Amino acid sequence: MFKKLLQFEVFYQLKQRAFPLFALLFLALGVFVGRQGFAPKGINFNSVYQIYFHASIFTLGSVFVIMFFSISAMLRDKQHNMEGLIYSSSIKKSHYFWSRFLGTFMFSVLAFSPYLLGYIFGNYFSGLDPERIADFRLITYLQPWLYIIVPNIFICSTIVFSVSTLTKNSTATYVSAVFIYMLYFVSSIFLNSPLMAQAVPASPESMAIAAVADPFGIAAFFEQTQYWTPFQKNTQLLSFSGLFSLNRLVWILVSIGILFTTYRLFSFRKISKKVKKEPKQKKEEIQILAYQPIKPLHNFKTQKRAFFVLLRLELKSVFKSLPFIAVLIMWLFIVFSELYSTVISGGEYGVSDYPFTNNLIDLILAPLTLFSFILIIFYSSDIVWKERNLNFNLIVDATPVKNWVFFLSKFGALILLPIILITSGIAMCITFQTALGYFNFEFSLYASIYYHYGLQLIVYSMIALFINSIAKNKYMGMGIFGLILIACTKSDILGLEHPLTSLGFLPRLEYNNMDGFNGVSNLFDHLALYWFSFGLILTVLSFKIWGRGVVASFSVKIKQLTLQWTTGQKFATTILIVLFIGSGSLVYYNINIVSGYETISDQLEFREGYERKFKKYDSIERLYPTSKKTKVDIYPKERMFTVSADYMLKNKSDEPLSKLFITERVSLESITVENARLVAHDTLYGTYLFKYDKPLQPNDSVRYTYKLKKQVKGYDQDNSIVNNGTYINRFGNFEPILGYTSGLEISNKNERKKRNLPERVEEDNSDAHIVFEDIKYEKVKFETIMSTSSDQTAISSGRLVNEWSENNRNYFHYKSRVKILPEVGYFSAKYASKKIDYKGISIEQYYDANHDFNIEDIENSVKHTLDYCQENFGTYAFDHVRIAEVPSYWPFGGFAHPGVISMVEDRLYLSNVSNEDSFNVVAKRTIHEVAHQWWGHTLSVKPVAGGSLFVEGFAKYTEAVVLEKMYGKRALYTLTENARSRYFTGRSFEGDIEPPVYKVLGQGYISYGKALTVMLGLRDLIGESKVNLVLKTMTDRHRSINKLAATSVELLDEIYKVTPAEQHVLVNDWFKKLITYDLGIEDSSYKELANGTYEITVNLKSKRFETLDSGDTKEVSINEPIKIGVFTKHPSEVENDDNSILYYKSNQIDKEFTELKIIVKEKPSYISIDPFGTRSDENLVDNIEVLEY
Amino acid sequence: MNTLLINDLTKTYPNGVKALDGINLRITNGMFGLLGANGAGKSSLMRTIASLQEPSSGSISFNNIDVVKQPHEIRKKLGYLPQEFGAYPKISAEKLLNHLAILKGVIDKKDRKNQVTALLQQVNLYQHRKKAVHTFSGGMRQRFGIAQALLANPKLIIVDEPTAGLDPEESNRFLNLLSEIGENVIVILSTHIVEDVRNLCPKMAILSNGEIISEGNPTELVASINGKVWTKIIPKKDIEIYNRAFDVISTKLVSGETQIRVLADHKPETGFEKIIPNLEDFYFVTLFNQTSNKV
Repeated sequence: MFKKLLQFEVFYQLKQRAFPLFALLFLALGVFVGRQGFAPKGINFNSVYQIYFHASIFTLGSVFVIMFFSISAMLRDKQHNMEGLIYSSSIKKSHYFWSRFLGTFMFSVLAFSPYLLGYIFGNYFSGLDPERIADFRLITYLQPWLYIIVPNIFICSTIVFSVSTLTKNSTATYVSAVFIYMLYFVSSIFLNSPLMAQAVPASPESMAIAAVADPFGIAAFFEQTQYWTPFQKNTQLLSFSGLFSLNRLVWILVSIGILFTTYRLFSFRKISKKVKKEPKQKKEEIQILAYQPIKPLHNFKTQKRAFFVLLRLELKSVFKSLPFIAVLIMWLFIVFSELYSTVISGGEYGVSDYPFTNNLIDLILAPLTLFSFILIIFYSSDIVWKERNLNFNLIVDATPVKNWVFFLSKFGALILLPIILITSGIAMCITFQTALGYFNFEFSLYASIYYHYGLQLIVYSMIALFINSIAKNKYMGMGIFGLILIACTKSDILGLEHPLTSLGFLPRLEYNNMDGFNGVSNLFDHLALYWFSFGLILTVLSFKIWGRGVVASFSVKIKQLTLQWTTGQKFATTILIVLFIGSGSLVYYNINIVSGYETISDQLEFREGYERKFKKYDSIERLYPTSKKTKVDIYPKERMFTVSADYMLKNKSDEPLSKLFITERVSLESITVENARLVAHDTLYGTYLFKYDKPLQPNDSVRYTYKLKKQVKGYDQDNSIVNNGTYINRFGNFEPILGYTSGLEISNKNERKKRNLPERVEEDNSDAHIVFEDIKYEKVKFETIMSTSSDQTAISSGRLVNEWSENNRNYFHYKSRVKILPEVGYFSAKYASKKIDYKGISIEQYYDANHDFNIEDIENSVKHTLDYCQENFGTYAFDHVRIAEVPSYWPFGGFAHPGVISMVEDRLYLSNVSNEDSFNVVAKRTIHEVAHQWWGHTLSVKPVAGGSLFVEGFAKYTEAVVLEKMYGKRALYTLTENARSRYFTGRSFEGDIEPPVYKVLGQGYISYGKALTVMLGLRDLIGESKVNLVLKTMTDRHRSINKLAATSVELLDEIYKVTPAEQHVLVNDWFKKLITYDLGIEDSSYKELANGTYEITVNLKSKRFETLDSGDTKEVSINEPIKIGVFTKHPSEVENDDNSILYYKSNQIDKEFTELKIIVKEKPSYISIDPFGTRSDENLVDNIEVLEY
Repeated sequence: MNTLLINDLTKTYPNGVKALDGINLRITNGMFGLLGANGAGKSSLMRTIASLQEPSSGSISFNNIDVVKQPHEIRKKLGYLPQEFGAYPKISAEKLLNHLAILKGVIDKKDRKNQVTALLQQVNLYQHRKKAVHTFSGGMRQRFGIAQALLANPKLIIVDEPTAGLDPEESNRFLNLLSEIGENVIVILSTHIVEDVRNLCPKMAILSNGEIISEGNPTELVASINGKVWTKIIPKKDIEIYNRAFDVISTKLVSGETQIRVLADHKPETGFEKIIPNLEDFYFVTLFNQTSNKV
């Protein structure tokens, strides 16, 4: 019997037209994803990791298939009025239930699995870089299927199937599917799943919770693989152990539990709606009224009245419908948790920003679009087709309500939906601000959301309305519009990347407190007009085909479009078309003609052309500047600056030179080179070739001048020259390049091969290269005269020599006292300022007047840093520390120019460090940038491998020692924990072979991460004073050499000099090898001794691993001193002089398991091995244990 | 006096089906019965008159309003009950009537309340007025449909199969209401129940395959076949023989015996008895004539 039922189930589901459709859809999805070739560098496109990653994300999509099959399995009897027949037959409940469940589950798996087939196909047959495709192994695809796809479909099936079985209601089933999504998104936001782009790395504890709680196993997958190196990602299968296996087992058991509960609750009888007790009819004496016809009114007022009752009816039915309620609750929940997790529970280093309105708005924008899309897709067809689906259309259509009234009521209801989302989000933001005591609400900024984001949603609503009007039925309308939305997000693939052709595209506006909406708003306004008139045209057309009565066929609708245009309609449409074409032309003119629109292939053509034409000049020896004088005039309102530069260039080679090749960055107005004439100038590529009148002898210099004007034109986006907060730096550099630049060459290997360009030579990283590479750049004399508008202050490097006003403009003359690295910035903004003199050094702060929260903290940190560094590393090179605020679109925390530091508004000035207990991120950033005045500007480093160890590594080290002085070891705890996780996360995405610390190139995870760990390890090993001595020796040696010369090889030599010989191996391990540790407390206990002291017994685990060049890891022996600490409170709370450290000493550890006995005088609470991060240890959770009696 | 003129009305669906084929009618105040089998085109005709569907050709005018070109004008005077309809979930009968009354232009609140109450009482839904129409049984829903068709002041009332699903008492009550109203307006009633037309309608038409095959006063129409209808009780197995031998217009079971009716100018055979024909006989005769003409 069971077999027969199952057979029938299979037969029935197979016959559903949807099944092949779904299967095909997932197959296509698989091909699409598989051929995309998005894999982090160094990871194969078909690596186990990638397959897991994609499979786990896309199983989310199976929910809707499951929903479909569940409804068709459990609700079809009801829908077709077969319940009575089935339930009265002799079928057993168990047979019925299990056959239907199995049918649902099996078909969901069958419909989804083609995804993997498509994926395989996409991997192997779509021209991906063959070097990054590993040989086919069935198990790499089979394992994700077994561990992720099948269990996930099972888990979702049980939930959705149970809901549809118990409620017998398709809406409830739909909601349960949405609920699973909600569960996923909410848990990923709450538990900091790495899938959501979180600025803050998840703490190990919350990661563990997420790994078990996430029903899809995605968090568990990430937990297991988060620190996998690319080598592991390419080769290793997931192990069914740890939290991953726990997650799978827990959720499968939970699902089975749900299924059996449902089985027990499921009654084999019709679910009869609970008959509501009718309120006892009071025998009311009603007066019988005779029917009287009433003459109706037919005027505009009637129509207006009809509009409002219709609109109210639409809205009421939306508000009462479950999907809307579910979406609204989910939306508010996500807004709440986004705001909470950022504004209250903190961002980077657990420090949050002040709740400035624009910060809050940023947080709610991403979910806003997502949720609005869901509402628009679902309700556009629901609203348009409502009366038809209810079969009520003939009645209302026969009423004397005008077409436009019906139409507008539906249109109004639809566009109100995103507006409701926006408004409720804003209300939530204001509530947060009020709760935090922040009352500068900036309502106009809130109102701008309606324009900047609401408008686009309204345009999409209009498109949806049109599609649904022209579609044959509800589901077709929904489907077509859904496809269009997806196509919109992928318009570049369709070759429609131009803003005028990517449907509904509006740029996202950046807003910051200093500069407001930067210049992009022109493009926005014009495109907004363009799309809005487009939407309105569609709206007029939808209105034209607005059908009453019997649904007209598609061809009739098309005919309707062309017929019966009233004068009003013609007039309105003409105006709209004029607006549409007009704004479109304006956009086209500005993008394609003024700014010179370039597609990606245009850019590649340009790069190829440059390389082919000018590569031959790469071999010409270059000249190097020895002095730079500039005159920079900034016109913030006009978003323009002019530069006139006067340099001295020197031939530092041993050969006489005859030619000079120059590549411009910004087109030049004039250029001259002393004793040379321009022999070739290419205006397309902006190159200049000069020939000296007579060859330039070694060590001879020539004067070199150029003039340029940079104006932000059309829709150009240029953050360097803005209304308030101009900051011209190396990222928006205007200086012509003195030679051929390989930076313009195409770097992508595949692309080069396609274009028959030769392979590029890899950089040489040998020790010999580090030592002998001849770097001819040197420090220069620098002088600038800057001018800006009368309400702004202009800032650059050098001593302020003079300052005056002229022609209603402010002038500033800066001149460097010593030679400096030519890494200067030019600033101009409406600055408030605070200057003090500290021991002969002037500390100058320039900041936005509204951003004065942290000025004291910054000043205080500068003082501490100057004191520490001058004492330990030698005198400060300048007589000023100038700190200037720049707008928040700069993607770094701060940047150190010689004597001048730029600090980004939201990462320094708006950070809320008013709580004493929180980590002072303001101090951290300030110390870091001030430290760069030594590390980089005083000790200038040869720009070769190992260089950033000095620059960033030492700055991190300075952070650590100064913060420890200021705030105690708790600051060290937070800092090292951050560096540790940065290192392990960074190396897991390393595409090339990971270099050791002393050969670090651009790898931030080493220079900001591992370098700190190693330097602190060194400090524990040989003592702070010896480390500082090494740094001072190096600084003293290089201070007066006018060359970029310091290398890591030299540093290691100096370290060896002060380190006992027996520790050289360890220093080598840290700096020259890839050594990781697994340290932990296995167990611990303490007892009170007779003399009132406490004896602690602890078992330590200590393992060491070396990562080999192949990427493989092997365990190596251990024999080194490691700090053990005993505390009265958690190490993250230890402050200076609070006597919470009972014991903190290095113990020589030489085996995997060590038992120690420690005696302390006071009652201990925590014991920890390496509490303050001196070893690279993936898992920090087991390093600390609460002591048990 | 209201006048509805239908002139050479034709409706061909895209799949080629001719739902209406050259219909000509002139209808004035009073009840007009439209009789026809299922699928004869009654609903198509009704929807076309109600401006809910455009004809392929031909014209309809009501008091000089061109229904096809000025649909909005006809809707001001229209009460329409479709054959089948649903309703918004969770909206009570009273609220829905109120809503529709506003859409029909009954703006004055007091007037509207009185009319809605009166209609609810008339169709016997007053005690159920707080319940959602969505949950109504077939008969109740039908009564609601009638109530909404009478909202405001309709001059042309089109009711498509209104008595389907009503029990005899409800049906009577409803038809009485209609005939009361029908004195001053046009009421077009489509049905396949001959009885209803005979009882109520001074004028009627029979629609078959999209064509009007007969039109006139029911009594006069019946009179036209007076003395031509004969009946006989026969064994069931002989039906085929009789069918071949005579113009059998209907066969039915009476008290378990097969009774046939035959159209003939003279007594066809022994055993036949002449009967006084009724409207039903006329209906069958008309249908019979149409089929035999075509053959």
